Amino acid sequence: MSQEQRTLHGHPFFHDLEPRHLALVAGCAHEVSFSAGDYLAREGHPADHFFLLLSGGVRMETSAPPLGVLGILSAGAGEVLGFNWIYPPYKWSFDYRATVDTRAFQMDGRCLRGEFAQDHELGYQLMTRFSAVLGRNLDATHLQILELIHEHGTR
Amino acid sequence: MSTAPVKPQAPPPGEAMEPRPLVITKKRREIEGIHTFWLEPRDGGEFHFDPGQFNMLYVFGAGEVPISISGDPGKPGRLVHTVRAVGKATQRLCALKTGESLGVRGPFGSAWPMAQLEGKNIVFVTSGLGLAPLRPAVYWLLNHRQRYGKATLIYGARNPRRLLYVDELRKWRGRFDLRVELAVGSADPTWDGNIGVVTSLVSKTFVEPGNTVALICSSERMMRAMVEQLNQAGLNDGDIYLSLERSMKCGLGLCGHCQLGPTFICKDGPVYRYDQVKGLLAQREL
Repeated sequence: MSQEQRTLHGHPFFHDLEPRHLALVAGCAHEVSFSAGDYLAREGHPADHFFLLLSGGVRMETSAPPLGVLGILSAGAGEVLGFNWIYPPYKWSFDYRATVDTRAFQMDGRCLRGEFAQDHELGYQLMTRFSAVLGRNLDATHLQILELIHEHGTR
Repeated sequence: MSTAPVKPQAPPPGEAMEPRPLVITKKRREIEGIHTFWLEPRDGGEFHFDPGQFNMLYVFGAGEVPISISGDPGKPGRLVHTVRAVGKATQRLCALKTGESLGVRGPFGSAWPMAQLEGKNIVFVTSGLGLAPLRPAVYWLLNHRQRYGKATLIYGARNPRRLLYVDELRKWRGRFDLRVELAVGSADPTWDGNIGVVTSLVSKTFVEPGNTVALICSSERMMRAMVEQLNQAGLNDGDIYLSLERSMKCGLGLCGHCQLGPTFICKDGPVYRYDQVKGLLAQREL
């Protein structure tokens, strides 16, 4: 197992992936680093990859006039960022900015989609993982909406 | 299995129905629509209570509302309540000024079992105004700090401006014996902390199962989500205590307004061990 595969295996998102699949995703991964303040992705730009955070911290932001720039989610080591590479029009929905020096694996979405076409089991394994992350994010969003409703005492 | 919530002796029925006049000696606007009142008995006496208990606050001419006590149980000379203006009585209450009076009946209900939890690690999990009923338990722990293991406060709010007791949170964060983790739903770039729902912090915060007890207070639906996260972190239902909220009216379990299945929240609650009410909370209608 290469160093890259070992690091990927150590990330919670891939920790129980079979070695043959780990080798395939490692072929679509390369390690990147960002300084505090750097953008990992910009809203509206092509989304052909996602990130597995290894260290540091990233904030999902958007410009929301007249409130200005608002952070709406923060993420750290062990988390996965970016889903827009999965579905058309393959554009980032939000900005992602490093809040501290950050290391991550950048996963090439087009490369992965090519691998999925060859190996449906790999596609299933990754989509199951993404579904779980998306489901948790959706639950969290619904809880926040409920809190808002509760706070205002309305239905 | 942990101990059941403490049920302090209720005031005698005659005394319990008669509001005691207290004067507002200090009032502070916490955030929009939420005020904290410091009250002192007109007769100069003290007001003893256990963490987690509530009072019925009577606004003359407007009505009576159940409000959790949010002050330090170690300082019985001053009663502290944090109130959100949502209905007629609480709006009138929040409009009262320093020097004005209101009637107080109580204290009522069960308490966080702080004395019985000595030796345990304590995790407080709360959001929004839920910090108010939990704060007396935090005070208690800090007043008797050496009797407990690790202590963590996990608190969430809609945005940084909606965090309650900010000055106190800053002080608590500066302590080496209380870990404070905050999360907000959204924030401008000056916020340096977590952004997201408060439950996500439970999984990110180290919780040591086996000797850890969680005290939680939030909206009922949010508490179910908190319990789920605490369960995933290894805590059993019997290691989780929560404070419930219903329409308390008499405070004595006589009128039935706060009935939840076989239990009256004003008398048997508001603090319950989660396994005592788990089945009741899961039901849509009772």
